[in-house]
Amino acid sequence: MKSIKTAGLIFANPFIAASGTFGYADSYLDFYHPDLLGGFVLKGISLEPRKGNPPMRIIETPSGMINAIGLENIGIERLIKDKIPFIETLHSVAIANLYAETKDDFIKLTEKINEIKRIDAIEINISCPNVKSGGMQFGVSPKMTEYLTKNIKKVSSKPVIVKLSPNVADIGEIAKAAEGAGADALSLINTISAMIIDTKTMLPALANVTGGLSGPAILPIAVRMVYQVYEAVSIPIIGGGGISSANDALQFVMAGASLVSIGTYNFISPASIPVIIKQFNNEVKKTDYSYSDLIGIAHRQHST
Amino acid sequence: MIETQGIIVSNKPAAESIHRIEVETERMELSKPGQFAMVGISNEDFHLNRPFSIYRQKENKLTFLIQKRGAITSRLIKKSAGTKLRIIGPLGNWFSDAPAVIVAAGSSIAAFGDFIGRNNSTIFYGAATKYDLIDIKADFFSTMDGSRGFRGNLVELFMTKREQSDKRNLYIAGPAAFIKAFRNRIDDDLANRCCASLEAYMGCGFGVCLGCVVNTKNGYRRVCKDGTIFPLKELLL
Repeated sequence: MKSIKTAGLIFANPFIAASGTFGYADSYLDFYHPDLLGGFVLKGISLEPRKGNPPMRIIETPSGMINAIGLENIGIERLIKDKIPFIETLHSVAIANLYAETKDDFIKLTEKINEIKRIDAIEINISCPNVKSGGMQFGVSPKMTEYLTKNIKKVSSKPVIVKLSPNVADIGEIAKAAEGAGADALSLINTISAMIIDTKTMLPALANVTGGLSGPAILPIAVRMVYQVYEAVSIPIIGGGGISSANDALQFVMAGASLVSIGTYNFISPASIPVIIKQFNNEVKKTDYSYSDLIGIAHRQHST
Repeated sequence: MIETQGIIVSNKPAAESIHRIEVETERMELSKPGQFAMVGISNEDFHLNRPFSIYRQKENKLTFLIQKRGAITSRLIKKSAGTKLRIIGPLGNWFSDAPAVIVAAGSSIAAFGDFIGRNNSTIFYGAATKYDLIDIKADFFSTMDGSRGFRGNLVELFMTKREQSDKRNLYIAGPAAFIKAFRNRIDDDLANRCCASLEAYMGCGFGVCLGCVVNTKNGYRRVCKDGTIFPLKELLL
């Protein structure tokens, strides 16, 4: 497959390892080299280290899992000191995922990232359902989405990807707000707010009470949202949610995603992305369409 | 660590609700004492892999002791020879294989396969009844109903024999409640040379998802990657 030029970046293939499922790019070396990916999104990073939520943090659900990690991370200074030197040796697209509780902290974080040459783009996390402030609070409001995106765009020297929350009534409206504010691309979906009750203890299973649902259970919702966002905006979409096969990935492309991201499945089969990439390339060949023609093809097929 | 395919070559009951499952993998690095593998059933609906101690390993062949706990273990213990499994391993840190005193509750004996019948170790092994014990050569047994060995819980048995623990390393494994009870009962001298292998509900098993953290004096630590073995004194259970 030819490389993909989108949002001012060049991806060797359309597969991205999703934030929070790929560590700081140094966790999968025993399984495959990160250069086999189109790109990867680092674990969400904040100005200061974060301890995260108390356990229980994860629970399996039918065809999925719920997590409430609470953005535990090492903080920007340690990212620069301990993790960037390795990331500098890599060639695939490196995206930093930023989390902050306020606009000012988002700005400070963006300025820090500007200084890291090897980071190619930033993904702003305004959609985490598992933190008390910031996160999803921003991403469920078109006004807040626009305000934050605009301010971050002003200072960022790198393309800005806005990661959208599915926990909204009209995702197209949020997508438009991000596009209007200058976002270079959109990434969707983050996890879906969910919970499980343990009927033996009669308590919520997770210490945080609610968490974010991911895995194959959310795939049809994610495909629907990518489909809607594709109709609402013209900037590129990184689509994902429950992808575990080449055929799953193809659905997202046909719905309108230029790139696809694999998240939870990395936990189940950590060696799988390079295998899925090969299968995906074969699937694309079988369609007799070019990859770029396949992006959003379901819309065109539907209207003819 | 690697991800590979495994095929069940035998599956036999080893005790009440514990099965001994032998798996032939395509390839596997040699595990060290106390390490584990993540195991999932290939070709079945989505589920997280489950962590199991590698009880024994001979080249590519791994033996697990799998206790029926929930939906996936219930399915696993019913699988016949030929069933394909997803195996990720070996994972976690490991015990020094120097002679040690071992206190294992129930199925957690699986963490100590390398110590059984070898190298001058002393093994304390307890369960609810004799039917819950797998057939191994241990030095001291306890059962709650007295059907084998000491009648009562394993911590009490250990305390009556604590002179056995001389200056060797002390290793324990079992559910958090057992480890907590053990820690509360022993003195500082014992606690200082005790390491505990923890059980945890895990997402990935290799340190990425941050789902299995335990609270320690050094903050949250990942049971799968920073453990499963921790100095007992560091744990804040």
